[in-house]
Amino acid sequence: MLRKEQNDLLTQTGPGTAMGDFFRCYWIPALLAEELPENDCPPVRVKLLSERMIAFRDSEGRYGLIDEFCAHRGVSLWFGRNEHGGIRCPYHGWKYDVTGQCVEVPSEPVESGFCQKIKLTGYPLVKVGDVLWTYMGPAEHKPPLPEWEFARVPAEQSFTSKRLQECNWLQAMEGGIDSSHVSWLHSGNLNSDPLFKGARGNQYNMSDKRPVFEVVDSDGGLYIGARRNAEEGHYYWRITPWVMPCFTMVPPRGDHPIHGHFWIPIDDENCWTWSFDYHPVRALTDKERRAMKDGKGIHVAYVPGTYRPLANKDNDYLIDREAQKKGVSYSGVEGIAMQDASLQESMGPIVDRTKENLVSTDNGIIMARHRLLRAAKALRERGIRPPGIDPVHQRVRSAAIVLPVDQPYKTAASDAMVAVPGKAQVSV
Amino acid sequence: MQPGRSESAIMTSAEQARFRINRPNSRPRATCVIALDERSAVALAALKDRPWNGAQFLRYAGMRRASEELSSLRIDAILQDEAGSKLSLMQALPGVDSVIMLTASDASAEAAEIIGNACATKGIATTGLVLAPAAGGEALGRIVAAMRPHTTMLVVSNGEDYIGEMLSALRA
Repeated sequence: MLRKEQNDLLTQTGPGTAMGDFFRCYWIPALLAEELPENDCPPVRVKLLSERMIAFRDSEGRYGLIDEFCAHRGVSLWFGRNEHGGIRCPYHGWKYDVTGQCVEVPSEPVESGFCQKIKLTGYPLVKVGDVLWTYMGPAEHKPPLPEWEFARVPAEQSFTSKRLQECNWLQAMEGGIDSSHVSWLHSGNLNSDPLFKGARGNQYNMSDKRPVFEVVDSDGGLYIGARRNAEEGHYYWRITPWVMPCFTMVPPRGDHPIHGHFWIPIDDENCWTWSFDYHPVRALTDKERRAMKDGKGIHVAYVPGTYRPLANKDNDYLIDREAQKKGVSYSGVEGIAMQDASLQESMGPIVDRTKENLVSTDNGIIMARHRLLRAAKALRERGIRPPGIDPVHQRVRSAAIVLPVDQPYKTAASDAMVAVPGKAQVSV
Repeated sequence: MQPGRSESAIMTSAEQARFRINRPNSRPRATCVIALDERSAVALAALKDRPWNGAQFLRYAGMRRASEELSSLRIDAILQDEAGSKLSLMQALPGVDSVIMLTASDASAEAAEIIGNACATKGIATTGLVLAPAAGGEALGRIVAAMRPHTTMLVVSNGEDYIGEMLSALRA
């Protein structure tokens, strides 16, 4: 459980809040690059950390993420004309560049220089991999660009999607840290999903349904190791890294691509769940890419024209009680992503953690909250920049490995948990 | 019900959250926290004045031959409470839901084995919280290896402040 003030601190990410300042220390995913496919394409509404913005790509290919509303009369620039190196408000023609600087106020004499006095808030927007990243903090603390491996491998080796999740970011992210739910909620998918099935590790999963957990501090966050019995004298370990503030990776299965998530607050009651799949040393096959686009693995099928999952709260997640009864899926909701999201959204927009009853196996969640609270406090009170900014912290991998029983995974699998370009993942 | 909206859409709203039953959903749990070495005993003692939900704070003081109460095990542990009074593990365990062992030393292997075996016999969940030594590396590896067989959840923390946070989160 958390005290109310702790829960409030962790779940509120708007401007001026402690956790809001914390998130504003990092480059965070803002849009898929496909959302701004060409120069002068239509602008896109973006809401992140409770700030409403507009994203656009100008005539020179520069990306901008600026305040959504024109400084003149407050019109949404979503209606704007993206042309000739800026976005122009259709109401009276005020025009802004990608930094938010007003470059034209047609009603005022050019000589007056009035437009120089108008500047909307603007944040950098940079393409790394398939993702447009933004940094919403103070310019003097802007960190190096993201180094996450999924965004740095060649394009043919990686696939990224995002989906709207209609609940606070923390309860969504805690699902990524909580490895113990996998044996229950996702038990129907290991041998059927095309992006999971066929791995030898699945047999260990199925034959030992009571994993034992070890949670270990890392420089960037945590490692959560789940061990199951393997051959005599050996454990099968599945190791999940969590890097602050909201990055997790799922341990791999066989030669399937590795996958993971970011959970990025839209506001305090909604977040974007970013899901990526990549293979460190080979291109994704057509079949794999097709499966990802079709919503298999950790991805979803969408309501056409949106990034909202096709199965969502408005249709009761298309729950199939017959499939639940027959064990086709454990909860009756199809697909790993929506199995998670349906339950996390059912908790309400912001779950009341004063009422929860955590047990020992929840230590990954307990420690992640502790690390977040401690780091947010250190930032607010002493200005200490939090873990996860350093590119070294971002060069992590999940791993699935069989080790002798007397070996601690943090040291025995230390090489496996570091992303090295051109080196294959350690997987069973 | 509002026509046109699904039950999930209605019931997951902030508005509907107001109607959640606001009465306690659990009874106090009985947690026994045992420091296995000096460093963890000092860290635990520093927490004793916080408001807890009945958690017992004890430290391991040695072992002795088991009494008849523990027929399947030969060894019992001698524990010491905050006031310095001694009691056996068998006296401490009845009614306990969860045992948390704290240590910063691989010399705790004997204590962990005795307590872990007793808890396994009695069906009590065990958590090991290892306070990582500054040296880390091999020293930490030895501690973890010593604790691993005797706990159902093992946590390694770089800071002692996690002890209080974990106990609070577990409603100890």
